[in-house]
Amino acid sequence: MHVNVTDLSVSYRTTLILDKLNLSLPEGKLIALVGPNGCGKSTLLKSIARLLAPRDGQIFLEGQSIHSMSAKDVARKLALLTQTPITPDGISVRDLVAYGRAPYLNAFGHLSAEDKKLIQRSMMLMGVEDLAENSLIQLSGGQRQRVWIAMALAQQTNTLLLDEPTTYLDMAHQVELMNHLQLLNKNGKSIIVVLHDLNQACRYADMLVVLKQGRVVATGTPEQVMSEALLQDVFELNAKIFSDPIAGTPMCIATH
Amino acid sequence: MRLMSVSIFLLLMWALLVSLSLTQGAVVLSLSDIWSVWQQGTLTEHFVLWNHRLPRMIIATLVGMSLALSGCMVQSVVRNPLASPDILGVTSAAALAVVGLLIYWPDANVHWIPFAALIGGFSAAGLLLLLTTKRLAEPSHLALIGLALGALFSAIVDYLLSKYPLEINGAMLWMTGSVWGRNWSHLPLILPWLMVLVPGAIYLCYRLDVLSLGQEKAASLGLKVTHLQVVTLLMAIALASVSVSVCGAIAFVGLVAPHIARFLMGGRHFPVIIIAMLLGAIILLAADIFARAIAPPLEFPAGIFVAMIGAPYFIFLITRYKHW
Repeated sequence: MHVNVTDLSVSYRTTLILDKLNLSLPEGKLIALVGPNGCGKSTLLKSIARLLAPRDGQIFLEGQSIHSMSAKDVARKLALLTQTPITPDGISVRDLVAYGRAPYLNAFGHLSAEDKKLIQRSMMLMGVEDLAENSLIQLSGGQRQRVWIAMALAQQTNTLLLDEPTTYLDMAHQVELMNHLQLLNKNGKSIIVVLHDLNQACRYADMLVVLKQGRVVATGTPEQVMSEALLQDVFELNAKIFSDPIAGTPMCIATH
Repeated sequence: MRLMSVSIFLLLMWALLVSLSLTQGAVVLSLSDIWSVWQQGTLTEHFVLWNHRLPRMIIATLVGMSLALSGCMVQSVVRNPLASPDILGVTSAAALAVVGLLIYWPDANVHWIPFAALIGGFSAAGLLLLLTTKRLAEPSHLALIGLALGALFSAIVDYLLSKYPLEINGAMLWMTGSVWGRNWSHLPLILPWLMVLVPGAIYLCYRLDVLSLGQEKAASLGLKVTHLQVVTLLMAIALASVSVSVCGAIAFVGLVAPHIARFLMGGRHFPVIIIAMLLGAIILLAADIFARAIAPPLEFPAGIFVAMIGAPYFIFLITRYKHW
C-alpha cells in the first residue's frame, strides 16, 4: 500500500474532526475523497501531507511513518495543492513554478540547470509555458490552477494531493483540469483529490473514499460505492443513480 | 538588473545626504572644507566634524537600515501591510524599558541600554501575542491592539518623565527619537547587532519567499514554518529594540521603507530588504538634516519629521485597507 492511515484521530481545538480513521490507498491510482461539508476530507488530506499533528494514530507514506520523516523528506515524496493558495504579488509564473524545487535547494534557493529544465518541463506538461513571464494576477482562474499544479509537478513527487481544485472553476475549466489530472495519473503519478462534485468524482476516479463525520464509510470503485442508500445515508440526499451516457460511470441526480 | 540600478540610484542619493549631513548645521562647512578640515582644520571645525557629524551620520544610517529591515521581517511573518515594529508597540515598549533604566538606575553602564531595550521589546511582543493568539489571522486586530499597547507604553513614558523632571534631561533628549548628540560611544550599541542580524536576514530571504505562498503551502514545500516565523520575529524585534537603544522610538521608518521597497522591487525578499535598508537610511538621514537645518542653531528630533511623512502614509494605508 502506498498510503496507510491507522487509527488516525485529529482534533481542532476541542472538536474531534477525524475519529480513529483507517484507510489504505493503493499506488498509481486517481483517488477521490468525497463526503458532505465538515466530514473531515480536507483534514484527512492535510494530515496525509503532514500539515496537521494528529492527536492519535499513524500515517505511513511508502512504508514510512510521515512523522518520523523531516518536512523536506515528505515534500520530496508528496506535493499538495491547497484550496486557496496565496498568490504573492509581483511574481512571474516561472518564479512561482520554481518554488516547487524548494525541497531540493539550499538556503539561498539557487537553481541549477537541471532544476531549470524540470521547471520548464512542468510548465509544458500543464500547458502554461507560454505564460512563463506573466504575472500571476493577470491569469484566469483556470490558468492559475494549472500553474499551481505545474509547481507541484516541479516538486518531482510520486504523489499529488489536491484539495477541491475544481471548486472555483467554470465547467469547461473543470473538465480541462480533470483531464490534465487523469493524464498525469496515466503517466504514473498517484493522485489523491478532494472533490465536491460526486459525478465528477465518479467519472474520473479509479477509487472513491467516502467520509462521514470523521470516519470512512465506503471505499471502492465508483460502481461499487455509489448507491441510493449511501447517498441517503451520507449526504441525506434523495437521488437516483443512472449510468453516465458518455463515460458509463455512475451519475446521480437529486430527486427533490 | 533592476536591483543594481535602483541600489546605485539610492546610494547616490545617500551619498548626497551624507555630504549635506556633514556640512549643514550650526557650523556650515562646504564640501571642500571637509577635506581641509581633515588636513588642518581649527579645533572647533575638527571637533564638529569628527566628534559630532560623522558619528551622527553613521548612526542615522545604521538606525534607518535597522528599522527598515525590522519592518520587512515583521511584515513578511505577520502578512500584514499595517504591521511594523512601532505599530505593534515594540519600539515604545523598548523606549519605556530604557527610560525606566535611565531613571531608576542612572549610574548604569551605557552598555546595558540595548539589553533593557531588548527586554522591553520582547515583553511587548509577548504581551501582544498573548492578547491576540486567537486572532493572529486577522491583521487589523493585531494592528489595533498593537497601537493601543504602544499608546499605553508611551503614556507610561510620559508619566515617568513628568514624575522625575530632574532625572529626565538625558532620557528626554533620547526618547523623542533624536540623533542629536550621538557620538562614537553609541556606535558599539548597534553595530555588532547589525553585523549579525543583517547577514542572518539575508540568509532567511529564500525561506521567507517560500513563506509568502502561505503557511500551508510553505510547509508542504518542506519549510519548518513555525520555526522560521519565530526566528524571523525575534530578529525583527531585536533590530527594532537596538535601534531604540540608540535613538529612542522613531516611528514609521519601519512601516514606510518596506512598502516603498516592495513597490519598487516586487515580491522577493532579497532585493526588497536591500532596497528597504537603503531607503530607511535615506529617510532617517534626510529627516535629521531637516531637523537641524530648519532653524539653526535650534535642533528638532528627527523622529518628528519622519512622523510628519509617516503618519499620513499610515492613515492612507488604513483607509485603503479593506479587510476590517
